[in-house]
Amino acid sequence: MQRRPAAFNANAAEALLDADLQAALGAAQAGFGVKRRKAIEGLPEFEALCDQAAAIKDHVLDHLDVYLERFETQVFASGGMVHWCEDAEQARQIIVKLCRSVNAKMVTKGKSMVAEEIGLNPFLEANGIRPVETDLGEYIIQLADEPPSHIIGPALHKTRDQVSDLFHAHHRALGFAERQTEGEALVGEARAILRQQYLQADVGITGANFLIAETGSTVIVTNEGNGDMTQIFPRMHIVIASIEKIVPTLEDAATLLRVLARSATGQEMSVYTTFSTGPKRKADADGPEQFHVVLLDNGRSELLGGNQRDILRCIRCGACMNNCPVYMAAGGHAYGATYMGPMGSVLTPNLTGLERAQALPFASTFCGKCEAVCPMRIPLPKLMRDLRTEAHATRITPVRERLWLALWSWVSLRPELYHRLSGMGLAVLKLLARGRGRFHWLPLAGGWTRTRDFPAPQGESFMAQWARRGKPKA
Amino acid sequence: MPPVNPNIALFVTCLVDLFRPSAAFAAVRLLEDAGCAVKVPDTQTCCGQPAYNSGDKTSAGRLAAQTIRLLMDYDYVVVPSGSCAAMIKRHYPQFLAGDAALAAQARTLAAKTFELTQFLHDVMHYKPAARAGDTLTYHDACSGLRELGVQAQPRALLSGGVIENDDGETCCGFGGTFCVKYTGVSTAIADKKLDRFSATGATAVTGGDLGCLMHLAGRAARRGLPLQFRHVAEILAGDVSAPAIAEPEK
Amino acid sequence: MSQQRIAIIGRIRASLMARGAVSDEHAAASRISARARNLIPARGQLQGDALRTQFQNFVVKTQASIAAVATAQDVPAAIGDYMASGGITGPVRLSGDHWLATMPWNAIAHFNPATGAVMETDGAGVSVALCGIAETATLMLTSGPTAASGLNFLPPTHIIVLRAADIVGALEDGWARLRQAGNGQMPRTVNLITGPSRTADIAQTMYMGAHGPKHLHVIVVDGDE
Repeated sequence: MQRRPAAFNANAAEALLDADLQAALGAAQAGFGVKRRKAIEGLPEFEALCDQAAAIKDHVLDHLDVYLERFETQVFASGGMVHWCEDAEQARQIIVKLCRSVNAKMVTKGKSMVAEEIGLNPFLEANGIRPVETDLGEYIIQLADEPPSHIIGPALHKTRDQVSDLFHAHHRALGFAERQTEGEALVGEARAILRQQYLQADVGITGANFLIAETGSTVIVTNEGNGDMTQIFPRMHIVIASIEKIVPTLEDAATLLRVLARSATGQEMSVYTTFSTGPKRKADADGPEQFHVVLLDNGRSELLGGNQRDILRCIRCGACMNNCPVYMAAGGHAYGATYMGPMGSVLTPNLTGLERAQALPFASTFCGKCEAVCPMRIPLPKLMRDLRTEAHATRITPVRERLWLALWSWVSLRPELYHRLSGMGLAVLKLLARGRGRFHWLPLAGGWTRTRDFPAPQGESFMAQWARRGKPKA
Repeated sequence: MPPVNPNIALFVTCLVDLFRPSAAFAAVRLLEDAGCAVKVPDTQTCCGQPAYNSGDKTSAGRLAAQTIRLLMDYDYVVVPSGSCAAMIKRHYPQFLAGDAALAAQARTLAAKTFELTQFLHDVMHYKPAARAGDTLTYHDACSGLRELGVQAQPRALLSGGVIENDDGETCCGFGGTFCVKYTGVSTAIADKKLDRFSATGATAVTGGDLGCLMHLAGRAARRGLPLQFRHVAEILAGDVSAPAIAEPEK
Repeated sequence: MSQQRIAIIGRIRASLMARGAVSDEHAAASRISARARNLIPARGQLQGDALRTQFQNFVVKTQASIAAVATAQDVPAAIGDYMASGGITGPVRLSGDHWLATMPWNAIAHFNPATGAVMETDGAGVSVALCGIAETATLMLTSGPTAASGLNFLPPTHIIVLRAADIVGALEDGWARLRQAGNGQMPRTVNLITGPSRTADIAQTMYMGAHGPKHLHVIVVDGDE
């Protein structure tokens, strides 16, 4: 798989031939669908809560600078520090600097898509600091040296046998000679290994689902408890989060939490929802001595001012990709970017540039399922269409496509010409079809006929026949 | 109370016009049987959806203006396609909202534009003749389903019932130009849909959007699947004389 | 004030202005101080018996277990019963909570109950919850001088003791309790715990005890001290 959006088609082709991946995607799709439906049926107020959640986020975005400042004040007040980073490079540098300040050799990490976005792990390694992923899915892909393929279940694309292979290859050196094949045993093995890492780590790095302005708290949501183990034991807790994660109050967080777990995994509430505020208090029984929040902009402050702003409401639940026919056929790696699926198709071009990532907003049938399941009411197809409009206007779409579409539109604006040309075309096709009803191949239609037969026209167009029958035209 | 002898413009849509006139003739028959006076404005071409979804807002605007002018003066506009009906009914008012000249007209036209089965059932309270024939499964095209809420209407009209296929609300993979820009993915999605059709045991598939049906029928033909695809207008009008989509002539 | 901070805030303000808006410190400050509750589902607004039943039923749904005792003095024996029936071995690590300290732990001396730092070898941890939220069967635990957060995660079995009077309807009610208890100050860590640890990261199959405890047991104390 190539790590660039422009390779979407090539990546997807590879993905479609990968039987293991297709099986994994099929299982995931079935699971996610059923669970989300059940969770929503169990909460009659769900749609109303989604409306409120979207309104809360819109309000925050309208006053984002003020809320960020308030958040920072509260973090200071509780004994923590805030570091503002305009881009990925600044964020990487400050994190390494912080790690170095406590002579960190090994850091444990909770799952963070923002950390993925800034390419943190390779940078830590290049600076002599070993990052250990603790979320089981992230741990698996770290062993496989692959990027996440889903924002909630990063190893969604792996089968149990593949995990068994990975663990056997990597855990032997740690004293686990016997290969495990059962899921429970595999989890147990990972648990045993990571337990040691939690206790030995110098620094724990987590992301944040939410940042609470009222209290200066960072919030993580996990089912494993890995994010908690990551932040309790080391001397320093670093939170890496993007600026749009701000939520005004604990009450507002409660509303967002109600729609998050349901949309993500169909649970009422994830097992561990943790609010962290500053370092340990002086007399606390345990906890980190230092608390640092690294706030990342990386294009979001600009996004805020444009017509794509709605994507900043995203709470990273993954419902859109769980329900996307394209994602469920091609898998997450096909997108070649940190963020995948419908939300990734909107966010990626906005963060990395449309020219490089234009394949993504076009990789949609506009079926609208993503918008229907998005708890934050993000109009994903509209945002993708607006990106397509920008791509067209700046002429970065392929010339050939623009020409064909321009021709179609031009002819359509000239009805007489349209009907004359289509008449000729239909006559030719009808002749060529010779009664077989379809074409196995047609010039200029390779995109269709590569995998499908092309239905032959029935003969003259309806309009031509209607005109000939002398019926009143208008 | 359904309207009495309303003046209908049939907006036939380019795919139906060019590839499946039998569906348009069936639509006319149904509408006349329901008590409508059907007119076919003779300068109709494309509603502009391909341009709109490809990002060419300028061309889309011009085609929208042309289409609005064409259809303004009728009581109702009926469209045998969920996606083209949704283009006129939902998208014209949205993307022309800022256009001083067209905004109001777009809204007016939107209010009187309907997808075929929605019009027959919801507006005309039409009851078609009883249908005999193949065991049928229905394909709910996404635009009609999610943008217009078309789901119950075709089922109510198809007396004799349909066998529901699993995950019926999942896309078939057509998506307009998507189907040729992302051929592999489009086809993989179609295959899943076709397998679910086959699993119902139905021998025939129908739906309200010809694009989806041509894409699915073409793939089914390539795979040699014994499924017959026809537009829902043809099934409702009891007209199965024409070969099914992609089927050879007898 | 860092350069980066100034730049980011500046860009945010420019973006808001580009859409004809200006942020309002007042609006933000009032929203924060108001702490208004948004929509709370009916399931989060139960009272009396319905509240208790909802909490109990949902604790079980989250794959935790629950038992009730009449008074605090009955807690150690109840823990002993739970561990015996589940084949769970000690030692039992007690949090430093003062309420726990009043209970007769010699009743289960054979499970070696003790306070102090959590050890790798501990079989079960015992904590006291600030409150239990019935809407989702969530337990709220806070860090402090007598409550190590590590105790909630390290031992493979976690036992949470909760006063019946501390069962509340919704998370919002939990926040009210928290603000009261902390005098407006947040503790370092608030753990909202809903069932035992689990993962579905291997082939979409659920396994318990991913990193946190495999078993979660809730003991509700009905009576007064």
